[in-house]
Parts: sequence; C-alpha cells; structure tokens
Amino acid sequence: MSELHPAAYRAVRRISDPDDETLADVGAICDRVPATSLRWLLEQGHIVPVDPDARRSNWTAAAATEMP
Amino acid sequence: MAGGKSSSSAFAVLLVDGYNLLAAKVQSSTHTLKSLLVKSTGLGDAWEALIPTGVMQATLTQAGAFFDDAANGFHLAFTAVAQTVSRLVVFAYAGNTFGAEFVGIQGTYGQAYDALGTVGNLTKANVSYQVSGQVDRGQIVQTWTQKTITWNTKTDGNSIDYTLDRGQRPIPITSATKANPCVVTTTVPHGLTTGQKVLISGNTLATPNINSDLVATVLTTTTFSVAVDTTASTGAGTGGSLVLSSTVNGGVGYQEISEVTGPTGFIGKIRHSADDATYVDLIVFTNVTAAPAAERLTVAGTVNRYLCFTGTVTGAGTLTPFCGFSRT
Repeated sequence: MSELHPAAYRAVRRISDPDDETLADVGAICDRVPATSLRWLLEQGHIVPVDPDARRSNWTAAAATEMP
Repeated sequence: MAGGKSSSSAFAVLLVDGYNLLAAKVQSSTHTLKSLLVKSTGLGDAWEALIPTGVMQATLTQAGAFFDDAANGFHLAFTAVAQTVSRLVVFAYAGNTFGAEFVGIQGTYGQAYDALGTVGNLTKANVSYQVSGQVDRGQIVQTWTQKTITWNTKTDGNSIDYTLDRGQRPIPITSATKANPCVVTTTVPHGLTTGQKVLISGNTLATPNINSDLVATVLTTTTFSVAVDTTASTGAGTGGSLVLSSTVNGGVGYQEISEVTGPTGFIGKIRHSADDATYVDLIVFTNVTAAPAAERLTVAGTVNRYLCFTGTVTGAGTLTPFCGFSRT
C-alpha cells in the first residue's frame, strides 16, 4: 500500500488532535495531519486530493515570475 | 418491546427539554418502550389484525418519589412543560457513567402527576410520563455533571470505544482462509456493509493473524474479506468472533443542559476517530446561553469507533450538560 503524503490533501471537515487542537480547518492543506491517519480520512471523504490543475497552474505562474 | 423496572440508584438521568425530572427517594421506577400498532382488521377477518405505525411510545414512572423546588427542577418543569408538545427526553437507567446506555426520545409528551403529601419543600407524588415519537438508544458520551471550564473527554480519559458497547452482539467466526485477501466465514449472517470496520478477536490464524481492527469487503451474507495476506499464516484459522468498530448509517446526538450559571456561552461537540489519534468533528451543537436547553441533531454516513465530547465554555461560572449519541 503506497504511502500518502499529508501535503497532498486538503480538509473537507475540521480535523483535530486528541486535545482538540486544529490540525486542518476546512479547506486547509493537511500538512499537520499524521500520515498514518490519511487513509481512513480519505476513504471517508474527510480529505480530498489537492486540485492537480490548480497546483500545475501555480507552478507555471511561479516559474514565469522567476524567469529573467 | 421489553420494558424494565429499576431501583432509584439505577435511574440516574431523566431530563425533558433540559429540565431535571429526577426525584429523590424514589420507591420504584419503570420504563417501557413499545411499538404503537393500529388496527387493520377487514371484513371477513377471523382474527384482529394489527400493523405497526412506525411510532414508538415510551412510558416512564416514578412512584412514591419526593420532588423538590430546586431551580429547573420538577415543580418548575411541571408548570412550565406543557403537555402534547414535542419535547426532547433523555433518560439513563444503567447509571450516569461514560459509555452507559441512554435512551433519547423526540415526540409528543404528556405527564400525570398525583401528589400524595408535602414535607417541607418536598412533595411526595407518583408521576408517569408518556412520550410518543422517535426513540433512539445509544451511549452516554458526556455524563450529566456540573462543569466550570472547557473540557475534553478524550484528554480526561473518558472517550467512548464502540467495540466495548454492551449492546453489541459478537458474531462467531467459523473459519478464515489462508489466502490473499483472507476470507472470513461467519456462523450467522454478519449484516456488514463493505467499508465497515470490524474488530476480530480469537481467530487461530497466526503470523500474520487477523485479530485486529480491519475493513471488511462483503462477499456474501456470511463471508467477507479483509486486506490481510494470510497465505503463509500458521494455525487452522478457526474460531474467534467479531464486533463492529464502525457503523455506516449515521446517528443522532442528544444534548441537554439543565443549568447555566454565569457562562455567557457553551458549545458542545462530538468528535469521532477511527484510530484514536486524529479526530473529526461529527456533531456541533448550537451555542447555549441559558438553561434549560435541549437539542437533537442527526448525522449521516460513517461513525467511527471512538467518540469523545468537547465542551467549550465562555465566561466564568457553572453549567450542567448531558450528551448521548445513538448509532442508527
């Protein structure tokens, strides 16, 4: 089973740790969510993959601004 | 449907729309739940025919009880809680403890009150309550306890583990294959849905075994597979049992607040988790600014194994909440 990477997902529902400290608010990237929890969060629809098209356009824009 | 007769020490919570109706010195208390039927007898029928209406009725009684005149207590409730109006009722007959069973009812409410005598500020009376409507059975996730500051039942060590619910019926396992994936056969229909999680224990497969919390993929009514490669396992693969560790049909949360003295706001929240490490908000109740208050909220989809309750208090003072959750 391939490993999931937290930064590749954003939250659909608020995700918290046992102390109820927010790990990811709705719409936020899940970079603070433990990787071991990603699979059940994904299977239940609590997180979704970050939009690959948006990521690609962001990279393109970033690369254009860096061009001399 | 079966009812029950409990001693006063077991009938630990009885709230109607946030009013505390629990009396002191109860001589006996009963609760009965029944499914209401309607006659459907037609011409020529030799026997009376009845069909279920889909509506439940609960009857609760407290006999020979003493009721006091405390704030939001029985007497205030008796005069303020009008009959034949939809009310939220919660009661617990197996103790006011985390994980204990509670019953929540939303429906038409009526009460009969026979005063027997008065001693000081206490009135001795027989009382019966009838509620007709939606009946939900579940577990207490926040006991009816006075609080002063924000708290979290998970960090307090009081989160609820569904696999320990006494209402669960362990399903016996006949055998588990040495294959990839492993196929489990139950002695009776398991009733599972693909994607549901189960906690298996006692099966004789070893290295690897299947005695853990696993996702089930339904094959037939008595077989399902789990994503474990048991091709090289030892042992006969017989025996053991399973209980559910998640449910897939949503549920209902009940919150009742019988007292707010000082705080300017309170938000109660139920969270759930599949691994007890990362939690997701399941139900967030409306901000409460005064008591008595009661709310019933439904949620759809998967409800995970672990439940906890967080109470966020704004302002200084005390408040007394109760929360239960019923899995559909």
